[in-house]
Amino acid sequence: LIQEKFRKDIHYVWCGEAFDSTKHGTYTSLALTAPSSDPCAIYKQLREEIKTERHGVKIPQMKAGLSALAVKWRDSGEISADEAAEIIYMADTAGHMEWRPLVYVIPRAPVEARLQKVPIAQRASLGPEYTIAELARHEFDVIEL
Amino acid sequence: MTTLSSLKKLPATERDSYIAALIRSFTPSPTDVRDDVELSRDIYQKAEKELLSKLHLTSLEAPHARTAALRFLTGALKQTAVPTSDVRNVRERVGGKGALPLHLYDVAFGQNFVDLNETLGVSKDAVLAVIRSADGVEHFVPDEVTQSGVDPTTILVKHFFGADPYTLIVIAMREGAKLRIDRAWKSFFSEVPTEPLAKPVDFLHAFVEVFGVPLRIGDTEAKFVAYEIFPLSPTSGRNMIEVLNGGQQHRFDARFNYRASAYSLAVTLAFAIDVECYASSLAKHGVSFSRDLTDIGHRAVYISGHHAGKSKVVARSKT
Repeated sequence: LIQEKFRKDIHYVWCGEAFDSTKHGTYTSLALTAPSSDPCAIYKQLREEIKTERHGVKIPQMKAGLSALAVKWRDSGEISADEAAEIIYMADTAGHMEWRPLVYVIPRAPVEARLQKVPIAQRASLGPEYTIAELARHEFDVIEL
Repeated sequence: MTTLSSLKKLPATERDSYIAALIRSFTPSPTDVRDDVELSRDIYQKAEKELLSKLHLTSLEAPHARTAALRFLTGALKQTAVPTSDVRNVRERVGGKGALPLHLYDVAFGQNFVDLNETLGVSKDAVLAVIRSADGVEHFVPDEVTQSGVDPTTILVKHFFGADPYTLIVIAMREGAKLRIDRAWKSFFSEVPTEPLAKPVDFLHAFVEVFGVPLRIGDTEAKFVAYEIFPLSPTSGRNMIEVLNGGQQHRFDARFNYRASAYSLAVTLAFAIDVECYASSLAKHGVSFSRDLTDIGHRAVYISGHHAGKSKVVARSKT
């Protein structure tokens, strides 16, 4: 919602090659993704926090992260001070359902040239992780499991 | 008060840059965190130290400690970036964009709803139930360029299961942080197909296909139009939206939201419901209503729009 309303539907994504690293062979690099970076594990953790209506670790982290990003975007002139206040207000007042997890399915070929490897120091494990700085909405599908 | 006294003397925008930097240092990031404003290492470290002391923590290594710190900092950031005196304005702006959680919208009932839909078996309580726990919500957000004159519209649906299941379709207009209820219809599963509909606007479209009266907009004939732009020529004439009711004298309830310029007609929503067909359907399903349909008037028409240039939109019954 925030990307759509304030960022022209351009998304910054931090992604992996496998949805569920536990489904891959023990000796493959895809199995080396830590739960804190594994899309499936993150999805399950968030869904659990929403189901139980209990703010665990993930929701406060996202609320804080989004609010801090709003300030960063404001400081870099990407959004106005009014828009930053709106994002912070939205993050603060959003109900549980607004934090429900979504999975982005990104076909690799069209974005291959824009994949940036996450440095090992920033990763929780050896499994491959990437970022794409500007992903347009037509370049991925969104699914809810 | 959720504040850090070490930052108190700084201007508000600088203060929240420090709070945001503290938040970013405790949240995962795929890159090195780089701030766009220059922060003093000394102030930053003092703020960090004060944070630990306020929360009675010795380190932020443990997940529960980080969560507590993030909660505190989010509160502090909100206090600085959205001061109490601004909350009302911010809420209005967010509401207008359709980005407010539904429970935070104020609700008002428009005259159209009271005059027509409430008398045709839809109670205010039922509408409030939809807002409390909608199965689907869709906010039409007018394009920034054409925003003026086009009503920001919200469509909500809720399914009521039982012996004779139906979907209650509610149309509201957003006025900042207020939803003004404009229309509400019961769409029975046995009469209106519900599969494989996904979005609220699809449910409305399906309902209009069953109970709607055809319209002519420009050269196009359709029962339902949503978010379409029609080119207009100087010879388009005055009657750009016409209700084609085939000579029947049935009362219809038309709703047009549009923006007209000299060259185009941007329609947010346009449809007309045959009120008598709809009322007969309600009666078949045992919905009781006291309304005498003859006092609705020949046409119950709601038109909302904006004109630029000489063009004009009128709803007109045409055989």
